[in-house]
Amino acid sequence: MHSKLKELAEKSLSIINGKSTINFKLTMLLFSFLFLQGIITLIITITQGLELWGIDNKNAWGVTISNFVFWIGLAHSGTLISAILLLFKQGWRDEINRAAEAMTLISIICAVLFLLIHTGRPWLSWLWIIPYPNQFDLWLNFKSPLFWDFIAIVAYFVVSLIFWYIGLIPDLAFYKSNVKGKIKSKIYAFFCLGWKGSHSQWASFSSIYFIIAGIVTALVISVHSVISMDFALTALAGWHSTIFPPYFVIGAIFSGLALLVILLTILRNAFNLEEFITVLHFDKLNKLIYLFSWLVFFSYFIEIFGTLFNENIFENQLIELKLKSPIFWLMVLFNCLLPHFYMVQSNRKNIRFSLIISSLILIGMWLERFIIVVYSQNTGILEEAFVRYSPSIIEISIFLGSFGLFGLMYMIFIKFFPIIPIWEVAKNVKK
Amino acid sequence: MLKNNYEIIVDEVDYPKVIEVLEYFRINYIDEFSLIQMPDDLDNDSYNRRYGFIGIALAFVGIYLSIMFLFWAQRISYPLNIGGKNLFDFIYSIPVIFEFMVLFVVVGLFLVYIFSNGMFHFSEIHKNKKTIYINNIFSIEPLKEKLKNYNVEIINLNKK
Repeated sequence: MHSKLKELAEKSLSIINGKSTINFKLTMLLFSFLFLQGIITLIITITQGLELWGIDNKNAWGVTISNFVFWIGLAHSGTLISAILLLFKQGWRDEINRAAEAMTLISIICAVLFLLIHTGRPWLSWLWIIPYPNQFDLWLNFKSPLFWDFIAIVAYFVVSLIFWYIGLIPDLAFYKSNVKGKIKSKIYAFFCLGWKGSHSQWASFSSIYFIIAGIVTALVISVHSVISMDFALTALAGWHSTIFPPYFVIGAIFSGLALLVILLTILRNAFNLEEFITVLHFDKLNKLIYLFSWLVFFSYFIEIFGTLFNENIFENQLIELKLKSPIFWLMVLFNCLLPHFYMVQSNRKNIRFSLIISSLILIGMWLERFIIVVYSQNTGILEEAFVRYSPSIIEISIFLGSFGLFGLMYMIFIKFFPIIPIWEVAKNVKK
Repeated sequence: MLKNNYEIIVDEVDYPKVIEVLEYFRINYIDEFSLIQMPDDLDNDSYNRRYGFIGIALAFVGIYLSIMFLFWAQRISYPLNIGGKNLFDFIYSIPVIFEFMVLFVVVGLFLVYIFSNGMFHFSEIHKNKKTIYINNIFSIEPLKEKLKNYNVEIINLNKK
């Protein structure tokens, strides 16, 4: 057998069979701390009420919905890498698709968290969003984008989960046969569904994987378009715009690619995966980031250009506010100017440099969501309705808690599942 | 497809003994990574049209059921009229119909996949089985004779 495959199998098994390293434990501790402080502030919010947040009647969404859009955006690139590149038969996605899919699933969970807590009474949320008649037998409004949002997120999560799980089955069967400990082996045996690698199973596997990849690709476009309609169907300056669906999809993929670069850098260094996550992967991902930075720039340009040519004074006021704001220019710097370094190949292949640029892009994309959600709600038709919103320490703390949740879940995933798909590497080494 | 391809599905307990037999006959086989080795003829993302047709059928069923549900909820269960116009509208239902359809197709295909491949028979789940691929065999009969004491299933892939 090829030494590369053997090495990967040994490395994957050593993560699950061996003891966790001190660095792994310390990182786990850090994420646990972040998560716990988020939980504590969340409990304080639930017991004391939403008055602890910086929101008011006018600016009712605030940073919580910015965070929701931010996390749901991060969920998109995982599917792009995994499904779209599979359809285009890009072999380089084989080593990194599992890491990207895990990122998708965990990001959706973090996003849903914000969707629930922004209602103020998360335990009642299901009554307001699930299609279920209330005590007067009245159904919810099926024309509401908020309901479309719910359906889109549920569909995206379920489909991504099934796509991820199908790709995982052969690897789970391999783990079942090689993992130490009877209980672990039995758990893997249950989840690999009696996979024995027969010809008929493989034939069905490759067909079903390909078909679901096609469906997931359509979902990537539809989900964020639907989320953009939460804003675009509202008659509020800055939101009521037809460019929102493509604008959101582009932004989502852009931020997701940045997070993927960060995660791959960490995984590569933490588990010595240099042979599998190569410089070539970073080169290709950074090329995509560069492409999407142009598209994001185009979206910003069209948004401002279109507004200047319509005579809506409220839209013009908002653009003026944005152009005077340092946050806007910081966002432009991070999202549109810094990626130009990727014109040079040596920068694209420099992993440390990519880590820095990707982190700044991630900050830039969060600022973009902040501007979209908060600035439009700050301005109004009446002059005196103008308010300034700033997030309270409680909101920031909950946001940091979501990073803790993401990190914790990602580490648990690394500990129990092969982060690099062994069967896809096996397919490549045979070629 | 390679000539005279066979697959031997074997209990994991008997696997080392079967390998010994194969080595005795000097037959090439896929090694201990058999569970994660895609067969050679499937490498080029070969596509089983059956699942495509099932997917399309499920899509139509999903579309039909979601339209019926939305129609029933807004016209029959609680016929809400706003300005003399019923709330049900096909254009506004498209996002919901699309997401329902996708859910229906993917969950349906997944269930078809696991049940049609015998992957969720509770009695089978904890039976650890492996598949060994062998090819270019002149005659399988001596091998069959030697393996008859073990719990193996030999399938001729050329006849599939």
